[in-house]
Amino acid sequence: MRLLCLEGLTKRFSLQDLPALDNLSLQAGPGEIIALLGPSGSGKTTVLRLIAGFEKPDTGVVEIGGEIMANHKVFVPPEVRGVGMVFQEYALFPHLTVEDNIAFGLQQPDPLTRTQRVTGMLETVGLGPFARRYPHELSGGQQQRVALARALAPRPSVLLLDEPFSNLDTDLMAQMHQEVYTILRELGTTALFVTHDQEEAFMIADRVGILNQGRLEQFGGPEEIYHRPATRFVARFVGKADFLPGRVTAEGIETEVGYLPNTPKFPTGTRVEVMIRPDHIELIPDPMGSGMVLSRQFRGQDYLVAVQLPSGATIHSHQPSTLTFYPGHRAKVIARPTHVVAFLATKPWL
Amino acid sequence: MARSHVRSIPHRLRLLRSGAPRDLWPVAAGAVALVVATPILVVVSSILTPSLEVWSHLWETQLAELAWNTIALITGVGLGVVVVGTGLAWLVTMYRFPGRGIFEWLLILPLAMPAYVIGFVFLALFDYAGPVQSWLRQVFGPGVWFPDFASYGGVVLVMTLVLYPYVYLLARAAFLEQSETTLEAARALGASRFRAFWKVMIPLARPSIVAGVTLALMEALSDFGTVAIYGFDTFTVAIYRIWFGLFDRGAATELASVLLFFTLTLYLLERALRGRARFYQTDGKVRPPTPKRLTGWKAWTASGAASLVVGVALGLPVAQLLYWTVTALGGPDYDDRYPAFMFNTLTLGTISAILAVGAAVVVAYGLRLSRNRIVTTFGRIANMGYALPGSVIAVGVLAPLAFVDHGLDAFLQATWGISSGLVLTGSMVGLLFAYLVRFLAVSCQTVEASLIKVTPSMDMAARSLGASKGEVLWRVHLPLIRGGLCTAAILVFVDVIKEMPATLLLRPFGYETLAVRIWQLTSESLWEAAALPALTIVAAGILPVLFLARSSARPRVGEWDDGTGGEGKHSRMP
Amino acid sequence: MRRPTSRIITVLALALTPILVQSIYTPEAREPGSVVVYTARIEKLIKPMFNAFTTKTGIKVTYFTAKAPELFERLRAEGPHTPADVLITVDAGNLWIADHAGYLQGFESPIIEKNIPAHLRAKDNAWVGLSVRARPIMYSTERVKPSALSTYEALGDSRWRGRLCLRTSRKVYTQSLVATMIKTLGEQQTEAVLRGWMKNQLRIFNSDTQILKAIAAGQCDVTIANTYYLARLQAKDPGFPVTVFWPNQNGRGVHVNISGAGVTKYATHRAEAIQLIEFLSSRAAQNLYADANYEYPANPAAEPDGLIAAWGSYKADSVDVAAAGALQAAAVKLMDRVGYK
Repeated sequence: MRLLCLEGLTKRFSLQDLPALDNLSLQAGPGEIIALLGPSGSGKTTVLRLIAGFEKPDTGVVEIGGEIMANHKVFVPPEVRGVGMVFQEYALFPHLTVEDNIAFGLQQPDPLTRTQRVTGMLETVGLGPFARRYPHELSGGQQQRVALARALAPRPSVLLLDEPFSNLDTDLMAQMHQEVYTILRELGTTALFVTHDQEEAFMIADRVGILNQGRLEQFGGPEEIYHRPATRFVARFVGKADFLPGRVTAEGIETEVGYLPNTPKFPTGTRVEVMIRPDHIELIPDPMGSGMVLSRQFRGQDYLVAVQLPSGATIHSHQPSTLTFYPGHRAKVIARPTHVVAFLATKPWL
Repeated sequence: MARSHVRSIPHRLRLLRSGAPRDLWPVAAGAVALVVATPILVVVSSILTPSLEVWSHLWETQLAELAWNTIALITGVGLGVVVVGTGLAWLVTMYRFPGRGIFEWLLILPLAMPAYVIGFVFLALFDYAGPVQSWLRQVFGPGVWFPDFASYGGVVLVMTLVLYPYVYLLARAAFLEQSETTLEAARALGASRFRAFWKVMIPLARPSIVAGVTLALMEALSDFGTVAIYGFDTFTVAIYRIWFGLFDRGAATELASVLLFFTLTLYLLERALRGRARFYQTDGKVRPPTPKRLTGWKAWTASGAASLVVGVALGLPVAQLLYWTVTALGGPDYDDRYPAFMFNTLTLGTISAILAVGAAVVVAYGLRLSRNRIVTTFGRIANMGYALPGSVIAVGVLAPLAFVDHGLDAFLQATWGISSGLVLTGSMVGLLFAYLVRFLAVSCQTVEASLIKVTPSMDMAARSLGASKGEVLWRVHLPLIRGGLCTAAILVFVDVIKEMPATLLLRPFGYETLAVRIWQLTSESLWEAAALPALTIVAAGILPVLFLARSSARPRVGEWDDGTGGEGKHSRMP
Repeated sequence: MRRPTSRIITVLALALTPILVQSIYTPEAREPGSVVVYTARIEKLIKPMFNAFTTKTGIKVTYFTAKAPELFERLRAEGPHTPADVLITVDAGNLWIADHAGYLQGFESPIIEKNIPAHLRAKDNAWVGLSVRARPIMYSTERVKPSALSTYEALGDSRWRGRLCLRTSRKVYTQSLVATMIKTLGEQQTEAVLRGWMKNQLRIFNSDTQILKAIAAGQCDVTIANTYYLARLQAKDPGFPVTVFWPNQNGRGVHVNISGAGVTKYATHRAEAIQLIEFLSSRAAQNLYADANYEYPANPAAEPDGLIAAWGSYKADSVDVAAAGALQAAAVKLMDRVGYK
């Protein structure tokens, strides 16, 4: 069953500009957590606003729980869509206490039921003792939890989260990632969240959508996105990637770092660009090696080493922090990709 | 378990389908704005049939001088209110000196003083025949020099003293909203305290200061009483001259449209100054600047400056009015209807304050929800009444009211042969309507400024939680901007009880107010007798202004108080 | 959440309704046996006469005060539904305008014809003068010899350089003075007179009272002002060092204006309205009416107040006062041209 279904959504804010959202389609099943990942200005937030009902789509359909919320004829206003939303800056109501914030969206006329629901939510997010505090008396993490509890209290069919963790410091962010994940899983809530941080997306989401300039470039599981990016943009956005020119031969794809299996099944003779991630490059110290170390960047658990190939192209490799390459050293460069990703070399370079 | 949490959508959808039209707010805002804009449009429409003969006469005689005087007036008053208002706001927010706590609210009080009253009092005191110059002549001989008080300088002085509180209120609120850290950052970069104020605080407070100056200048443009007493011919004076002297009301309203042109210029100027900056505050915690203690002569200079302004703008006129009340020919003007005059004045003030704030909320919220051109345009026009003299607005109000009345009567006569007579014309409705047209700008500016500080994500949060647009307003915005609403209501109240010309022309039969009483006496130059009603108006105005001052007291450090409004502890200024 | 909103609205509505209803219905205005007056003469100066009228006839008088042009606006807007029966205003020019704008209806009354001389009444019987307000020259008794004074025109003489103060041209009294001069002397000659005044570094004031005080203080020496302003000051301070000079006694006479009344075109209580005006023209009322403000009664049978009688009698300009109305606009424009503000 599809709980959330977006079909062919297009939204333009002005006629001169490119569309903020271009023919986007996406589905989510019940209990699924979806991440929309993209750089700023890619249209992520517009998707949330269209689902929540703060914008009308120019074309396309928004369907929640089998009901059409927006299409060329119907437009259901946000307050009756049954969609929860958590904002980047939380948008807690400063004039209401924590419990009043959480009770804000509850429609039950019976005060007892309301109180029970509020208490339940407070327990879920672990804020029981803070019920009577005002938002400004809470820390950032606590405010975040109130925002979550407030959005979840009316039992929304879909929860939307707009960069929910970007206002937290690193330690707290990691903790909140875990907590939010646990809470969403526990309640079985379908959630769609927007972020520009691919680690966050991979960590929490069942499926990830990559947005670029209003287009959904790829939609799939985190591993699929990382290992089998559908476009150059996706390849670069979700991790470090180098592109090496290659030519398809009968033996495989011929590149400067050796032959790679032609798993994408390009016809022989095709000129392609092969994506290579630093994890997949092995360096063997060798004074006669074809690669020359240009620079190295210490990153704690490993080094990112840049190596220049004879053609002048630069390729990166992750090396354990114990091994030492210095600029000027030569090395043998071997590619050992787990999946071969290659694109047609239509454009000279991305 | 998971599935049972999902709430039933179809149930909620049914609510919607049986429900009301969806985009009611912009429509309501547009409707309210249109109704308020109608009298202003009536005035402007007079331009379509220009009285060429009067214009060519004006062109040959006075027009250049009128334009020059009007520009000089708004320039002078503008500079005056900026310097006095901002300077005093800076003094009381940034420094500690003897009496600061009292001056902080005392400096708001001149708002309650009608300009025409202070204008006349000053002229009586400082003119050639007044006690000051007479005393100087007695002491230093008849040749002693004294500036001519009935002059440009006198007008600017009087208007500055009456109008600076707008800038003071807004600038002070803006300074208090600023964070100590901003100031500290500037100091750390090597700026002196004064330089930090000049380079950081003033630019940050600029939208508030500009809003205050705009209100002050619109009132200066519409003022007739003061400029008339001082013989300084502005466009407003010319309007009356043409209306009452040439008996050409058409030409007079045409001239009034020129005032709207000035307002439009001011408005565009404000927009240009504001640029594309937006002033949401997203961060929760703001620590207002800590005032620095002044010592020695500096402390006394600060106290002296504040006392001087309060003394001249409030103490002196009140003292003179008291003196006149006691010494007036045949005793003070008192009769047994005085309680009724007061009651009527306060009733009008209260009802119009409620109406003006209500209309402002509808218009401002509608503008927030929709950027529709038509709604925005009417919203802007509806805000221009503040620059029109009361009598001109009254004429603009009479025309549509009479039209409705006569239309209704004709219809009833034709249909059932009954006469409805006049239902609206000469009724309280007309008067309240005129006040609304005249003072909507005051409440609207205030409410809009408060609303702008509520982040749009508040709206979205509330709506996604199932609140309709109306509920969002009622449950989120109104509680958040309560302080701003209070300020708006009090400003309108004070303006209404001071208002004279529209009241005079539109008041219901037998409905006398204090301002009408003042007119009764001053029109026959019985100023001494008018001192008592004038004092009463000042007193009636001071009470709510005191309340305003109290509710706008400095928020305690550390207490939550951000740009999204507080629990009424710190009211938000326009 | 709907309930508190509607409750507040209900409370507000309940609070406002009586006030609005009360203001819409003005029952006394429509009562038979009462009369409604729109008056530009302020309450203080008119109420004693209304009280006397009610005492005598039992007819109730309700009134509405405002400036004349504003009363006209109101009459215009109200049209046939106006509650007003009587219009009282100061200045002949205003009366002329009211008549010509069609706000008044003519009425015949032998009583009034007997009480008020013809030159103080409208030719079409639209209005009746009720008091006469003389606007002579006034001078400082300390610095001016009356022998130096003669006519309004002579105030342009260079001996008054820096000594002449006059009231603003915005005031209808000034406008009527100039309008009658235009009527008698013609526009060209009047302009010459005004230019003469201007040459004397004419100082403009906003009110007659201010000028009289300025003369007492030594800022000015001569002016033209309505007598009652001086009378009020002298009543308070008998030693006030300014007195009256009756100008143009060998020529056209002192400029006089009037205050007067008429029956409105759509008067509901026409009979009572005429009755009120007749009463106001009677000798008894005339003494009240004029004395309340130190004006000269229009009814020759009534005596002026002792204080103003002491200034002696004078020859009044017999020019048709209503002519002022027709020429008022011309007067304003003329003053604009010569720079008389």
